Amino acid sequence: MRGWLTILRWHVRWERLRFLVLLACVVLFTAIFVGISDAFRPEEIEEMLDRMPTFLQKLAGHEADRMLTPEFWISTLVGHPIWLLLMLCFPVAAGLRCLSGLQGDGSLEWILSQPISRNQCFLAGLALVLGGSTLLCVAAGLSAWLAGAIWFPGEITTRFLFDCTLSNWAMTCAVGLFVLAMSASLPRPTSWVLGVLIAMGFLFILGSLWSPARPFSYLSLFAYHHPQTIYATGLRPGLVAGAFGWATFFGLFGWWRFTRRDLE
Amino acid sequence: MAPSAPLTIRDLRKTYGSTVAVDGISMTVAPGEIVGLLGPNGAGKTTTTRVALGFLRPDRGAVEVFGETVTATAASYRRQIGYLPGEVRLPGQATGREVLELLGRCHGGDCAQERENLIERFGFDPSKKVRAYSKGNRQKLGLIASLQCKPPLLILDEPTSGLDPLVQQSLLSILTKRAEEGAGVLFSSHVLSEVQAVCDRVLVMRSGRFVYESAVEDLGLGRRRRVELVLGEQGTTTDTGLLSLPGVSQIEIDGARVRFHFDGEPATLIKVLGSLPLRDLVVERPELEDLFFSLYEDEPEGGAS
Repeated sequence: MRGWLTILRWHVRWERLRFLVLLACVVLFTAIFVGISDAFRPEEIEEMLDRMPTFLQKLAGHEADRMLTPEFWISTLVGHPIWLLLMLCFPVAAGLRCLSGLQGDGSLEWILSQPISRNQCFLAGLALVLGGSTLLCVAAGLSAWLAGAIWFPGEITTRFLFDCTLSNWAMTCAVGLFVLAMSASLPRPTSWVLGVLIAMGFLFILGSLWSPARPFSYLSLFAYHHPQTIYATGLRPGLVAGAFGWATFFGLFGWWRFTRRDLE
Repeated sequence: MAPSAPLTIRDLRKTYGSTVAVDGISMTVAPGEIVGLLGPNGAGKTTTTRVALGFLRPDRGAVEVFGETVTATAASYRRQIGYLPGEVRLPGQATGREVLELLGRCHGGDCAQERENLIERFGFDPSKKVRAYSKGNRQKLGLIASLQCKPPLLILDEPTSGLDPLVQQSLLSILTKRAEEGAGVLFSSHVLSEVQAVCDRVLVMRSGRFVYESAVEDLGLGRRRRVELVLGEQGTTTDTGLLSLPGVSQIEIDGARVRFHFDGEPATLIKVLGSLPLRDLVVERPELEDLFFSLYEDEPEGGAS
């Protein structure tokens, strides 16, 4: 079983620089986002939110019971599109590279001509995606905690940060394993992955804006990460379980496909 | 109990949709044997080798490596195999040495000593990034990767492609030596002369089937000769009965130039040639190409590779 560790080390060899740059971007974005909160007075933000169109308020989840607290600010941070983009960069790119990328550059054929099973290859990809996503989420949670401790000492509870990080991690894992499953199933999955992720984004937006479409929005992996709900009512375990459920489904499906399909 | 053959293929069939790539072939590579697998593009050679590696699942039949059945999920049998794909593609950002060390670690054996020997023998510089290598150097890298752990079965898809003649010669001598040490070699190639030079047995594929199988020494080329003659101005071939002689085949007439194969009695040919107004005459041993082309007459284009 040492084979998968060899492959994982090979992945890490090529991913580590990109990963560190991404990590730095997450920390920097968190610091900037929380840091600039000092520049606004709560009334100004409230006034700005009031002036926003209703659909934007709905999208942001701020249409009711707003309380402009530091936790509100953090919940806005972890639901911000730039934050999501930063958090999803790694699982998407690594998920694509670790199987279909290896097939594309010819490495997979060489690796699988050695006594390395497809299970081990898949396991290495799984470890890369899950391990990297976990590290990224933990680093993001810690940097939010640190930024909160510096700018809002004593105003942000550890429980709130933990819940946001857990929700973030569940969604990141679900997206990462969706990409891994596509990477395991198709030789050139990039356009499919991007297309489906964009469609999921639209489905999530539609469900947020139009209540009859809300049940369908749970087909989108983005619907399971809702920091404003955590802020308003606390973590909903069903959403986290849903995200991990999808992650498990995609992980099993990817493994099943990869170990059975023809590698052409 | 007799030791298992390095490679046994039984009734193998593989289709892609409605295209039959390999159609019920069976073969064995014995220890110490070099088997040449010949065929044009689309004959099914690459499909056969990829099924043997477990990359493709057969629709029917089985492949065994040293008695162990090849499946998509099994891997231990690949410890016995050194594989060179037809097109050597490797990650461009890695150096040659990084690739070789990775594959050595994946194999799990002690490959370092042989790796260094091969690097020196092929005159290969492993310190460059793969993207900087020429086609020939990539081929060398692939060959070192497939040979470095001294596997007892080598499956090589067009191994001399892109190599200069000196390295080609070096490779062929390495393969011969490995076979003498007991390794089985399956050698797919378009270059018939090298197959003829190193292989013990030749299998010719056409449309997914073996259409010809023979030991190289029994190919029937020993007595056969290729004859080319140029007639003088007044000469014709019909009035001497040359073309109806027993043993004359594959006749080509191009004006005064006549080419044919002859495997009949030499004395009868000499007698007839003596009566002809010859301007030029060439009699030579035929190459495997001649057999190959005769098998592929009327071969349609396309098919699986």
